[in-house]
Amino acid sequence: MFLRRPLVITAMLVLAGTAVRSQGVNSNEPPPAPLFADAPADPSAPQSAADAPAAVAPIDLPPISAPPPVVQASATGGWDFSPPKPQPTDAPDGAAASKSRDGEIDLTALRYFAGQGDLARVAAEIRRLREKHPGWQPPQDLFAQQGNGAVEKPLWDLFAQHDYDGVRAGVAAIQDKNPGWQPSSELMTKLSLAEADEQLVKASDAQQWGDVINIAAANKMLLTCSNVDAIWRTAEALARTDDEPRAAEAYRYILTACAKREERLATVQKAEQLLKSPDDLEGLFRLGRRLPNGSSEFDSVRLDLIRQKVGDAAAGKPGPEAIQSEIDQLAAHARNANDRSDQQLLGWLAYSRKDYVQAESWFSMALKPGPDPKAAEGLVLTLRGAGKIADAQKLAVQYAGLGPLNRKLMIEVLTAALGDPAATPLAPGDLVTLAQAIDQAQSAEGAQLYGWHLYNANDVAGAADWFRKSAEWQPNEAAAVGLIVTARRLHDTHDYAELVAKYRDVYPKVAELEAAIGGRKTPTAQASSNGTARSLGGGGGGWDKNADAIAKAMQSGNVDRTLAMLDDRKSRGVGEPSGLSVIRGWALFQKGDWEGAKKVFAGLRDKQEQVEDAEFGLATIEHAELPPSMRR
Amino acid sequence: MAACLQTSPLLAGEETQAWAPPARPPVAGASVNADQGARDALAQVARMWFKAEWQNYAATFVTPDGRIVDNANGNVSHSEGQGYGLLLAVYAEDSERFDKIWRWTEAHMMVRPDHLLSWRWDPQKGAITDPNNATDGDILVAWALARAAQKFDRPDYRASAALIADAIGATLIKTSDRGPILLPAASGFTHDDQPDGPVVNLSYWVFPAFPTLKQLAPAYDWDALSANGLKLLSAARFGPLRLPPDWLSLGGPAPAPAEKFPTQFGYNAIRIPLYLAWDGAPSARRALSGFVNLWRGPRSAGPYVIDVNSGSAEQTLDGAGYRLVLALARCVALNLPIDEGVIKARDSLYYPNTLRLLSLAAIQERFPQCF
Repeated sequence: MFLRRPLVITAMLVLAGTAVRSQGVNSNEPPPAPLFADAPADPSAPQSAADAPAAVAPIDLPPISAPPPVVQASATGGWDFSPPKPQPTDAPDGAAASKSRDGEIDLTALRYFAGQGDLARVAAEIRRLREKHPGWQPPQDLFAQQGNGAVEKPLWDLFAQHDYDGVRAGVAAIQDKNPGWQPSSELMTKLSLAEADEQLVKASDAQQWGDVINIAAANKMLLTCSNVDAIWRTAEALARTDDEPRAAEAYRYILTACAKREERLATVQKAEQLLKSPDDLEGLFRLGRRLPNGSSEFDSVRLDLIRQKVGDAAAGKPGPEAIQSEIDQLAAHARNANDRSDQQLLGWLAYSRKDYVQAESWFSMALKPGPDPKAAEGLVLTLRGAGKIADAQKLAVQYAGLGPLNRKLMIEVLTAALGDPAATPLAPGDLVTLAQAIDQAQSAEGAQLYGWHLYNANDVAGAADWFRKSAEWQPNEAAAVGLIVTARRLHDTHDYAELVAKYRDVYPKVAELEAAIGGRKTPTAQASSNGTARSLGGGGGGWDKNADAIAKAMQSGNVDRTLAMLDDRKSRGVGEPSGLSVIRGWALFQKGDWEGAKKVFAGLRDKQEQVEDAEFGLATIEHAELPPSMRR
Repeated sequence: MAACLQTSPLLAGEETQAWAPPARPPVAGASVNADQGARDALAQVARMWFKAEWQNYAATFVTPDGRIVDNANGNVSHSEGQGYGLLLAVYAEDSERFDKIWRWTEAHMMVRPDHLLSWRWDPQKGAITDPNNATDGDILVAWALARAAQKFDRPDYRASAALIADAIGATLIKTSDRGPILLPAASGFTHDDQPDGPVVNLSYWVFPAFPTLKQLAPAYDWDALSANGLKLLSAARFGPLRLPPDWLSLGGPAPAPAEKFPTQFGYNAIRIPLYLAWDGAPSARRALSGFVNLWRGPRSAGPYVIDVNSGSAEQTLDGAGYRLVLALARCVALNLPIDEGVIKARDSLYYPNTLRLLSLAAIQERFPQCF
């Protein structure tokens, strides 16, 4: 039977000795709202008003009114981030659970609700505490700010300006004048919290993780949805001190209790950076709210995180690698949403892993809607990497117009083929395209490569033109060497001397070349007496008519015939004068058999025969052998 | 709207929501006139709805001969209930039922020689079981009679009202060290009757009734009584929650919760915010601020009966009427709209349901914007 309104009157006072009368019908009142602490019938109900967010969220409180489940003293003296477990009220340690370390009753939730002005919750919390601590009386100053307003106004103004020392000084000043005056508990509570917050931020900025945790533990009310930053910093401190479970718990609290979208997104981003366990992270992602379109609010973040990892991996940056399931997720999105940039990203990832099949598939997909410079670049590089040189060349030419980088790539792909004796020779049309592209791009690199291509094809004059352009667009060693060797082979003494003088001190290669040639007169100077052959080979002992014929064949540009004649002569046992060996060297060089040519020239040098020509041949081969990118 | 008025009697069961209030008309308007129009429409809807709810209430709690039944207390009737019934009937413009209730009250409760009402009538005995009065009942009956005299053009009601008002002034308004006070009853609450007497009940200060009583019995200083009620209220805040108790002792050096009574803010004091809100004067609104956080909306905890000394929650004040009282207080003091569900929810017991109807009466009369 519950007491009801006293409709009292003397007779009843006399009769019953009490001034109340009972309520006859509704005698079994339901227990208080289950969100409150003291419903022992329901052990799953939270035991404290300050309980877990899960207990708070379903009744849709404004999140800031929900104190967090945060740090509680545990039996071991450590701090426990996990939400307090429901404790039966008759548990022997029930009372201890709401006591803080020094044995005092924990009034945090009480003061918090008082600060919020929620009388019903304050009353329920008092009831809970009184049940646990019989005889306990709540402080009378819970709402002490009432009537204190005018006096405290300047203090609140200072507080608003974050001048916390000023507030302390102001309180002391008022107390000096009015002994016994007490500031409101609201002011002091907020002041302590604000000071603690300052300390926490400071410690966190200084990476004093232990301090961060201690401050948070001593000021649980810092860790609410109204100060998510403090929770983030505490979580980071926990993560950095290898307490990942509690760090995850903190993030989980935010995602369960706090509503602000940007903060929720930032929370999963931070968690992703700090938590190592994929399971923890996955658990957090699962707390994403469903959006009207059926997706989760975190889908985009999750994809962004994967993109970042994939992008870093593709760029060869160190960092956490995307796991296969993440890649699959991004791939699904790339396909389903037809997201070109994600398709390319996956293309680059595959390219970086030399998975050219996948890379080609992704880049081709990204190019389906239409040309795209980056995707085109990716596809060309992929084809080249896969050894599909012809396809790479074809597409490089096709996409060269998309942008400067594509043109550059085209030049690179085509000129690489030029310099590679094993590559399929370029079709005449491609050569024209290449030449035009080089001119258009004023590519010094392309021009010198093209020059060497012509030089090797025995078009020395044409080569000289390209070397000249190359040096003009962007002075470079390869062009300088090219200019010098073409001048020498064109017997252009004047140019040769001028060029050597100009570049000797700029490019080591030129100095080496000059040293190898030994500053002798150019072959031209000796050529006249021995006829044309001398200009090439320079004679040597055992020169005969057959040798003349071979030299002529070489001069006519018929390399195959030259080599056949040389081999025929050798098979007949006729000796090969050093002049013919020089011819053999150049013939092999022009056939692309650089190794063979090198052997010939090196043999001559070792025998100290035709040393000048041998050195020149070797220097030319060495230069030609460098990959295009290293020929500057 | 007419269809809305023909509602079935209240179904048994607590807080049934079988009946939906009419949709609220749009409030926003492009011009002042449109705003005014919207407000008028809202007020009209609130009036019609209150009348419909009155019909439901009357069908459940008012007997055909005009007796209001407290179904939580052995179906007794009391002067407070008769007073509330009269007040609601006059607000609902139900002259026929008003007259029946008044006839029954006059015949069964006006048995004292001093024109106060004996407070309690027991159907088991068919008679008054305590001749003492209850001052709030007297005030409510006088207030309702005076209003009905005007509304239904019945000078005889006014004459009866004046007799009761005079009796209240003569017998129950007393001077004290703490200014004029209202004794809760003719016997039992003075210094001689209570160890810490005089003892008063601040929920017997029916603030919105005092201007009417002033007209009925101008010989007494009702304004001073009213103002002192607010003053006592501001002094009588105890414990960590600064709440007034149901029963207040004025015998000691300072006001205190009365010794012989539970030291609770409970079923009595819950009416204080109702009367303050209904009164609506600036001073009354200021006094309301101490109550607005006792309950903060449909998803909040409480309200509770609270031990004022410790601030501890006791049982839940479980009924739609208690919540509507506090929602009205929040609307009047803080301009917070009342949740539709709170307006709609019904009770099955006499007391919370009566508080609910009273709140609706206040809303339709003075605060249609809260509707």
